[in-house]
Amino acid sequence: MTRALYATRKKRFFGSSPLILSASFLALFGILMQYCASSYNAQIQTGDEFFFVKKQALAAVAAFACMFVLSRTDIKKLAKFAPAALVIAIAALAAVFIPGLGVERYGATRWLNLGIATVQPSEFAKFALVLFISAVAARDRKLRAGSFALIAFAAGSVCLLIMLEPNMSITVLVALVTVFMLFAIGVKLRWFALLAVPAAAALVVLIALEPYRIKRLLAFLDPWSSPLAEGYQLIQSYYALGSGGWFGVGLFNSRQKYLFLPFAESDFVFSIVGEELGLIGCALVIAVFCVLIVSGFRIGARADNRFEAFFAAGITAVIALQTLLNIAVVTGSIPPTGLPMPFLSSGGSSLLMFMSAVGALDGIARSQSGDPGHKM
Amino acid sequence: MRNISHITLKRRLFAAALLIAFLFCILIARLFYIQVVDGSALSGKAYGQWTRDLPMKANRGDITDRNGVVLASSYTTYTVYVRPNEMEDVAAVSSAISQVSGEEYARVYARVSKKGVSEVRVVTGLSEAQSFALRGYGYPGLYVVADSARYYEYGNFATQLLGFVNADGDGQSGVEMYYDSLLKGVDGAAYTETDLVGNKLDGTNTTYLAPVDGLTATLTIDFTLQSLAEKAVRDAVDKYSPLSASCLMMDADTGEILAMASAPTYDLNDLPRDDIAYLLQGAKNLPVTDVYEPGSTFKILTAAIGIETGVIADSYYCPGYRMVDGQRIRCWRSIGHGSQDFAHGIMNSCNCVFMDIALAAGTDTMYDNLGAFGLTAKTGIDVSGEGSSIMLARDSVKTVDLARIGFGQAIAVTPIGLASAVCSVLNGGRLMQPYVLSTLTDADGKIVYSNTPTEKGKTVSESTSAAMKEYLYSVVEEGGGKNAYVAGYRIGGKTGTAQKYENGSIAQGKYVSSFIGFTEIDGRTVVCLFKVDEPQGYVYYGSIVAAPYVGQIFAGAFAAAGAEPDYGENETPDKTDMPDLEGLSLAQAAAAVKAAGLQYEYTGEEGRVTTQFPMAGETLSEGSVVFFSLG
Repeated sequence: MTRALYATRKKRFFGSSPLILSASFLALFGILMQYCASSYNAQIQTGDEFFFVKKQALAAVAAFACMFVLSRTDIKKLAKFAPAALVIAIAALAAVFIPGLGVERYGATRWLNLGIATVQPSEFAKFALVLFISAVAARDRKLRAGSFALIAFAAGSVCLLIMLEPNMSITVLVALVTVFMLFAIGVKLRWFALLAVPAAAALVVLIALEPYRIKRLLAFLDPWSSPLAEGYQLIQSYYALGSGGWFGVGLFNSRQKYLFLPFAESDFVFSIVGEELGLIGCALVIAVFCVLIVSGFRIGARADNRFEAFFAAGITAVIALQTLLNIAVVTGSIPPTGLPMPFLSSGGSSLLMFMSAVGALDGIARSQSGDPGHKM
Repeated sequence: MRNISHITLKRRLFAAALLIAFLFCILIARLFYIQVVDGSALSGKAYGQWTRDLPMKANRGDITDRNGVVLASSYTTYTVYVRPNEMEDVAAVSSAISQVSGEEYARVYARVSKKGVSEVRVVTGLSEAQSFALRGYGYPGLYVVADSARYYEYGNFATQLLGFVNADGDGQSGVEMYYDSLLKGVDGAAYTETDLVGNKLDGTNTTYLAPVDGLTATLTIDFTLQSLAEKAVRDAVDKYSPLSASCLMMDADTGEILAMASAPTYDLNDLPRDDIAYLLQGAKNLPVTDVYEPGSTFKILTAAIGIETGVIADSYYCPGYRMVDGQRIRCWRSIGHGSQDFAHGIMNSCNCVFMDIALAAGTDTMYDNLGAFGLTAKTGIDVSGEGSSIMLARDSVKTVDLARIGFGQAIAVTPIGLASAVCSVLNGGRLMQPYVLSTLTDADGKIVYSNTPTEKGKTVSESTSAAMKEYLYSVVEEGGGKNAYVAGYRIGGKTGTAQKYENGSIAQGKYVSSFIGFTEIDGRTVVCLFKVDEPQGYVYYGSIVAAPYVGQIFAGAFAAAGAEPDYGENETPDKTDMPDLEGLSLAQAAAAVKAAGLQYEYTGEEGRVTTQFPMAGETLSEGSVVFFSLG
């Protein structure tokens, strides 16, 4: 038994090489793209063209360390920390509204000032919620109504707090991830309906209360009708992508980075990928994401227990859905939302959380036997 | 923890993975559409925002007279732009611009510190020395760009014909507008690659697209004749304070315009830009734009049609009026001209003679011939704003109308239209296309376009033309055109005095006085139409108000051309003094004027002479036409 385990560990330094390789590639590629997208802006604003890259690299060091630690952790044990994690997440989300602690940027209060750095609690909260849902669902062989209510309540609380920041896009992401997890868990159809009704109602009320959202929502349909207002960012994204063509203008040769494309290093980094590396580059990056996502789902499918299966599926769902939403925004396929690209966009807390999540996935993978057909 | 059903979970995750893969495929398709299908269109649009261009004005071509005398030219001035985003010290830049240009500091500062624009035009019209001084400061964000400005060598000269340009150098009137696209050339630009806010990118070059200078336009205008025409128009304005006055001179054989002058007018280098109404009024090139009842000058055409169609009678009788369809139409001389032949009818400018000719010819013949004279359409001269003649519709012409048309009423024409028709009467019946542009020359001096005389059609026969010339000479030598007479030279012509109509009825005291004359200068037949609209005061006869100016112009032209006078036996210029007519009766005054060897026009029938023109004692050439009024 010990020999067998040892042999397994010796054979595989990581639980899933495709997972770790794709995630590491994306994180490093992200640093490169940070430079491509932000060097000019950084030079103008700070006099140091590596300013944003350095910040991202520093976060990457921490992120890789967290990933490594979590890949060596027995993830099953995390289940009992799930309630605590959720409480911390909710507390952090609420703390954003405490003056002095919360940091407001671009008209939204999404950041917490920790003295040494500002972090986005929502980045942590979405994974904490996934952890909590997995832990609750794992208790039952078949999800009971009480557990369902608990999950709904937790998800609702997180969504509400993120909504209040406001951060529509993360709210939508968290809601989609929750729905995905309930599907994976195998919830009865009519319980879904129970969730859909208040969710739809909340959406309508929100749009009615804040009509600027409708304008923003519809701007993506015809950005040229408001090229200097709502449509501006999308047009700039189109210019970047369109300039790229099949093969791109070449690494470091972006023209749109010269302040034309706002948030080029964060939410719209994929536009710069498209400009510099073309459709081929975009497709390759998407392919790497697919490797990562398929690896994640395989780990979930092979998990020994319900908790690890749900947790792996949930983490993968966060990565997959957020990537889809980001690319959809960048290509004008859905209304514009401020959602970073996993691994690629600038943002320390985001990278840290995603790499940790990948570490957790790998931790689950390492605890599995090499042969999927074999049962311990 | 419980074990799970792998089968179910696997199925669900597989389904989820499939859905996600499907969504990624959709996004790749969307990327394909944006990047490949729409790519070139999008990158084309994006290119527009990546570069800034500073204009480099092409030099506007000169305008010269037929002999190369420059009438309008361009010179380089310098315009100062700033790019607010590139400036480091707004105050220093402002004070430098203010010091060099002499512009007030506060105004410069206000422009320089403008927000939210990539470029601001701060001052214009700097000299080369000033531009060097400013560049010497080397301030970032400060740009000095060569610009082109217009200068009119003779200022208030051919103002309406030449026209003017706006601040951007676009032609706004006259030749400047009509030939704007050829004069202006093609502007160049300096393209700079910049970031969003207009900062030049490091390692990029500014691309220059050199401007192509405009073409030089050589006009058919003769500087000397234009000067004479300008002077005469100004003299007429000074003397009669009319609404307007104009002079048109044209080569009868080629259709070339030799002079065009109008008043009111102004200095092209000092436009009344803050008085738009005056600016527009003075921009009207009256010989082309004006539409008026020509009055007796039109009798040239009626006479020519009469001879051409053989409807001239052996003799005419004028009792001072004609009854036409029961309407009494008066001759200008109320006591009548009595019995006279056709030649004297022309000399006397007797309305009855021309009514008879028009009525004898009939509406169709008259209209067909007027059409042949080009009066039913615009001449198509290469000057903006040509007016259209106004004629009654052929089928609604009543007999009384036809009679009036015979002596130049119930019809309105442009000076250019009438002059062109008269040219054809004089040149053997060729209706020539009038034009002002002779050649276009590029910057290397190569002629790229050359205008040539164009015959548009036939009007009258050679013999009619020859006969008409003699009749018109006699009008000046013996008839009512005597005031255009220049001793020693042969001048022909016809006077015209037309009452103006306002709102369909005769406007009392408002006349258009005109004279159309011609002579040979340097072997070329020159036609001159001089027109004074609403002369003020009591004199309004074309013979007095307009004819002397044509004489003045021709005299100047002869002197300039060095044409020797040829005094025949009858042409020794005798001088006589104007008698004092005040208080005399009509018969007494007429006798006194005749005794002095003068001709006369008068108004009023009863009472005594109250006013006369010119003053008693003024020295005149014998045969001059003088004026008095009874009251």
